[in-house]
Amino acid sequence: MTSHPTDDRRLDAMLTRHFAAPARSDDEGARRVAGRLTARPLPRQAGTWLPGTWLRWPTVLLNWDLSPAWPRVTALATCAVLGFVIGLAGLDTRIDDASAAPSVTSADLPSLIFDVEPL
Amino acid sequence: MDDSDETLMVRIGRGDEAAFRLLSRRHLRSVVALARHITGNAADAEDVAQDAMLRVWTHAPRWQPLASFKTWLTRIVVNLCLDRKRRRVILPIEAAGDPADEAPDARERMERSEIDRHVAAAIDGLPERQRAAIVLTYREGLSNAEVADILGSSVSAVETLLVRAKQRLRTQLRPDEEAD
Repeated sequence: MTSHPTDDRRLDAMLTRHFAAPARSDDEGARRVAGRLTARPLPRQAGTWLPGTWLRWPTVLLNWDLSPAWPRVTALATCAVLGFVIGLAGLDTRIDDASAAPSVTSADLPSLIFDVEPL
Repeated sequence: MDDSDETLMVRIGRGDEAAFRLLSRRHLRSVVALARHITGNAADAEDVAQDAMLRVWTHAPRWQPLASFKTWLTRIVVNLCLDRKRRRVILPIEAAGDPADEAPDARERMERSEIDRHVAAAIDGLPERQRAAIVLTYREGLSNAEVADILGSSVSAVETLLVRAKQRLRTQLRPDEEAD
């Protein structure tokens, strides 16, 4: 059954008028609901079982929102670079000229990669 | 002080009850009206409005401004209305609690024109999802894409709902349309 454009316009106008009419019962209903909301304590909010706002950080780790977020990507890249640098340099060595050259000791992993040419 | 809905939601997420009361006062009337149009019942509408605002409170810590607060709240209200229709059960009279004051509704209906009553009755006779689509489109002024987002369906499905709803309304309201 196809509709005539005039019928569509009339129906649209009728529906628009109908919903635009204010209903006094809605104001009174809203007042009743507001009264009910203030009559008793509000329930516990989700995710607030850990005391203190700083303990909410685990929820960030549980956030499976995989949309790109530049702060997150930057933090991940920084951790990767840091781990790479520490892995190469070693935590037990000082970052100075004396320790910059790889050791020739056979037990050192860098010696497997960098074959230092004897002077 | 910025008291936009999104700002208030951030405060509510931290447990600010004053912010929650302010947000409730701002939106309760439209929530009750939307629920009344979808459920067709003032008592159900008040229950839905109360549940919706309590969900706003409990989920505020997890809320993220991916969509506007109004859209999120509308989605909650529509889902609660549709769930209420699906899960309607017969309860003993003792579980009814305080009845809604029907007098204003009765007075409201007496004050409406005859045509408006017919329109209301025709809308109440629609299936729930068709009624929800009509209310969201004509009362909330949402686009088909926004209605689809709230109903969790596709734009084409919403268009189908609207076409079918308007066909049924046109059939029931034809004498009133001609009188207009």
